[in-house]
Order: sequence, then C-alpha cells, then structure tokens
Amino acid sequence: LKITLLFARLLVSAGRICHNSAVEKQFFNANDPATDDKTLMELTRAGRQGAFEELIRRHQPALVNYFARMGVYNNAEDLTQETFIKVFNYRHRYRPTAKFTTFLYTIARNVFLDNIRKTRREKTSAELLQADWMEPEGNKAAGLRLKLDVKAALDQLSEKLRSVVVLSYWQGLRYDEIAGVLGIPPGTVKSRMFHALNRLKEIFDREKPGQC
Amino acid sequence: VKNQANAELPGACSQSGNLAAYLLNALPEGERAEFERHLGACPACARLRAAYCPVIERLEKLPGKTAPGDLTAAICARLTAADHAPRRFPFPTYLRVAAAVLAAVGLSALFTLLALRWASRPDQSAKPPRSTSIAAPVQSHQTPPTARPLPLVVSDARAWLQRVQNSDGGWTTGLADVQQNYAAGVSALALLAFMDRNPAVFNGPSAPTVRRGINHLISLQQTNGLIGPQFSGAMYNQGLATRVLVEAGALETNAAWQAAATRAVEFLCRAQADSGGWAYLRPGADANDLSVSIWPLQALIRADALGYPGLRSRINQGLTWLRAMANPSGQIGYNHPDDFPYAPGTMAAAGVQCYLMDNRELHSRPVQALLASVHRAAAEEDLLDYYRFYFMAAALDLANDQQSRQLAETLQTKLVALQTNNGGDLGSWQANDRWGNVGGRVYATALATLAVQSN
Repeated sequence: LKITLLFARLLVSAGRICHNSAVEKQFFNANDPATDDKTLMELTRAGRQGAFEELIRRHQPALVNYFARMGVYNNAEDLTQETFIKVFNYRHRYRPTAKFTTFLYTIARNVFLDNIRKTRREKTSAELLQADWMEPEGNKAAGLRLKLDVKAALDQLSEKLRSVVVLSYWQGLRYDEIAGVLGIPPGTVKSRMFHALNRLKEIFDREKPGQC
Repeated sequence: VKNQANAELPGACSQSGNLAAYLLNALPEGERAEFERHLGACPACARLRAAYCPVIERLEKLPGKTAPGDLTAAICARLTAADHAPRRFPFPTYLRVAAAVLAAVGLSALFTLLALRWASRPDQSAKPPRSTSIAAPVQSHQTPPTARPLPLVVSDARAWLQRVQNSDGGWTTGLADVQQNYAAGVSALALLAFMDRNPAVFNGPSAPTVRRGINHLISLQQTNGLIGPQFSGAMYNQGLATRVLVEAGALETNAAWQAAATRAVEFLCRAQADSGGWAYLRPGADANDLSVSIWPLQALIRADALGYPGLRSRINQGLTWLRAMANPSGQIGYNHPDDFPYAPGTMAAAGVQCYLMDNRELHSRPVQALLASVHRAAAEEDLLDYYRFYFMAAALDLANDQQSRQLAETLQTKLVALQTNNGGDLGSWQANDRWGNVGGRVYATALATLAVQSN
C-alpha cells in the first residue's frame, strides 16, 4: 500500500512539473502586455514571481480606487496590499474558467468587509474618547470638512447598493461579473442598480441649490 | 432576469429593467447595442433615462485616488516575509477549534493508554520513576533570537551612514529622477541620526562626518534661506535641514551655521500659511498638508526652545491648526480631519510629538486623545513603514507611560530584527517600505535609527 501511495505521489508531482514547464514554455514573457490575466495567474501558480508582479502592476490602480470609492479612502493602499496577498495565497483556488477580475474583486470585497468589521470594533473604543475631545478654537475643523458631494451621497448607500454602483460604473465590471463577485443572481444585480440610482437621485434632489 | 428587475420599475416597459445597468455601463456589448436601439423607440425608457442622467453626471465628478507609488515591491516584501514566518493553520476558526478538540481528545486517549500499559507491566522496578519520564518539564528547542544590544545597532547604522556619505558631505537617495530633489532632506535625516540624543557628537568619532554634512547643507542654501531646490516637496527638505542647523548651532559655536539656521528659520516663517500649516509648493496644492507641516513645525519648536526669538505665536498657530486637523477619535488627517490616505495613527503620533516637544501637558485632553489613537495603531502595527515607526516611537518615548514604553519596545524589537547584519550593507535597513521608493536606503536607515534611539 505504501509503495502504491508513493508511486501515486510521484505521478502527481511529475504531472505538476510537466504542466508547469508547459505553461512556462507557452507563455514565457510575463511582462508582455499581450499576456492576459489568466495566463499570468497560471504562471503565478507555476511559481513565476514576475507574473504575479505584473498582475499587481496591472490591477493596483483600479483596486486602490475601488477601496477609496467604497469609502475606505484612508486605508485604500493597505487593503490593496492585503487583497494581493490573499490572491497569491489563494492562487491554487483560481479556476481559469472564471474571469480574473471576478476572482480579484471577490477577494477584494471580502477584504473590504473584514475591514468594516474591524473598524466597527475600533469605533467602540474611539467613541469613548469623543466626549473628551475639545472643539478647536474657532471651530476651524468644521470649515475644513468636505461639503456634501458625491462621496457623501455614496456614503448614504448601503454596502449592497454601493457595491453594484462602484463595481459597474468605476471598476468596469458587467452585471453578470458583478453577480459572480457578490454571489447573487444577475437579476438581483440589475434590481440593486436601479435601487441605487433611485436612492442617489433622492439624495441629490434633497440638496438645496449651492450646497454642493 | 428581466422580470425580476422590471418588478422594481412601476409603469416601465418590458425592457426598462436594463436601464440602470445601461446607465452604469454594466451591459455587455451586444445587450448594450440592443438596448440602445430600444431606447430610440421607447418613450417610457427615454423618459426614465432623462430622469437618471443627472445622477450619472454627478457620479462622473467623483475624482479617483492615485496610489502614492508602486505597491509591487511592498507586497512582494510582505510575501517573502510571510514565506519565512511560521506557517499558520490555514482553516476557519471552527475547524481550528474542532482540530484542537480532536487533538486534545486523541492525546488524552494516547496518554491514558500509555499509562494503563505502563501500570500493567509486570516489572516496573527496572524502569525509572514515572514522574521523571512523563511529568518532566519539556525543554523547548526554540531559543529566542539573541537581541542585539542597542548601542551596537545604532553604531552599526551610523557606521553604514558614514560609509555611504558622498565626498561633498551629503547623502543621496540612490534613486533616479525627481527623487534626487529630496537629497537635502535625506542628508538632514542622516545627520539627525548622528545628532539625536548625542550631545557629545562633536567630540566623538562622528564629528568630521557631521561637520561635513552640515557644511554641505549650507552649501545648498539659496539666498532666500531655502535649502535645496525649489520644487513641490521642498518644505520637507527645509523643515528637516532647519532642524539640523538649529540643533547644530546649539551644540557647537559656529557663526556660519547660526547665520544659515536663522535664514532657514526665517524662510519657514515666511512660508507658513495664515491657517498655521505649510503646503506643497506647487500650483493647485491643498492649502496645507500635515505631512509637509510636521517637520517645519518641529523645527520651529526646537528653534524656540533653543532661544530663537519671535516664534511663539507661529508655533501656537501651527499647533492650533494641527488640533483642527484632528477628528473626535483622536486621529489627525492630512488635509482635513478625516483624511488618512496612509493609515491613521502616523500623523496622530507626529502630533503627540509636537505637543510634547513643546512641553504641553501629557495629561491634557488633546494629547491624551491623540495618544490613545497612537496606542491603538501601534498595538496593531504590522505594516513596514519607517516613517510611521519613527513618529510612533518618538511619540511613545516622549509620553513615557507604561503602555507607551511597552509598545515602543515592541516596535523597536521589530526594527532591530530588520537591520541588515552582514555584507556591505551591514547596519543599514532595506528600503522596502511604503516610502522606500522616494527616500531610498539612506532614508530607511536614518529613520529606523532615529526610531530605535527613541526608546
């Protein structure tokens, strides 16, 4: 039995080596802009660090913007780093049948939700300090705060509604891809899009002229 | 799919379920073209589109965010570090708990079985007593890494800085292009690494290095007092170099140094905005930026403490502005109270440092609120950022309460572990943090040295 198991392991290892070298031969140049994301993920799985670096370079600006537009402007770079580290750690779970951006934003959204949970915990202790913080002289801070703008309007949307707007309008995902990221039916995505636009319209309509 | 979406649109036509997806650019190419044809022929959908168009126009106005630099190196450094870290159990918590319970049950069963078998052996006299074989304390094979003595860490760092000093007395970022503009600031940081907590610097072996460095900074000073080139980030250079000149003038009597320091201080005063802060010197920059302002403010605080006249009102103005940048939870933003593009805590630490350098009361409410925010950030510190480490270490050192001391020690241990301990770069720190691509290895080493010394 032991010999059979050993032989089976050897076969699996040999198969992996052959597969990896085939991938390497087929798509050698990771920095070539023509090399698509799926291939880069294959190369990453095959142990090519250059391929993963190229994936980071390609997608980091979009991810930083994703987090910023989801409302975590302050930690956008850190969450972007966290996302890529998770992408790397989960590289063997990626299936080339799925679009890479679907895989990427699924992980990014989980990172985002984890961050929300963490922030909520922090807020509890921060609120204790709130009473102790004296208002600055002349209340300069109030004058410096941002007026109600698009960001503030987005802040009034629930995470579900905000996600569909951000992923579609700014991140360029199609509704079926968003359905994959959020794990909901495509019809629900369209429905949430409508709700989101409706809610934003209400918010903007409520504003008095000159408030923005 | 369409029916579900249409159910949300009272009075709409059978195609209007696609309208929101169309407006948000979420329809695939084929469906988009089809819907556009429909829009041309359907007044109901056209009316709905007209109603929502203002919303889309507003969305267009939301500006994007630009990452401060390429994150690739930082991510790869973290992955490499994780490679060397002990492997974590890669399963969810409930599986970990289940595994732990199973392991405990299994081990108990095994020990019981062994004990029973042991007890049932016919002859136990030949064996050693049970207490020595089973209950003897297990010796750990893991010995903690030997902590390097701090004086050695600092002297290695200074020796490296000495080795890489340029023949003209300055230091460079080692980076190309625009980052060379920061050479004056990087040189000043390197000099501070020699001068900080070292009042006898001009009597020790580093004295020639430091004197050459200071003379180099003065050689970069323009007639208006600005040290280094005029560019958007010039206030970083100016704040740091002014601090060096002010400190140097207090440690050694040198008329040229003191005159240069006075001109540098005067430049800082002229550059201060009415609000009390300082800004990037570029068109369209925010009126003030806390990251830019910290170094000039600290330079003025030190200059005031060392007897430069007429700075008190400017310092008060700077500290008032700094306080206006704080939010209720004790975090300080960069351009407004809730603006933390690079993790909260850094600027709060810089704020604590400013207040305490200016001998403000540690137990005052603003300082306590800021310090609590620094404590929270330091306790969760897992991001390599020498800039952040420096401000945190300095703030915790000045606060000097029990919690601060413990947190500072943890930061220090992390930094010491990262020091290069062999090869040509012995004593330095690798520039693999968030700002390494701006300041280079000299920057990383100088800030890490300052942070380590702070404890």
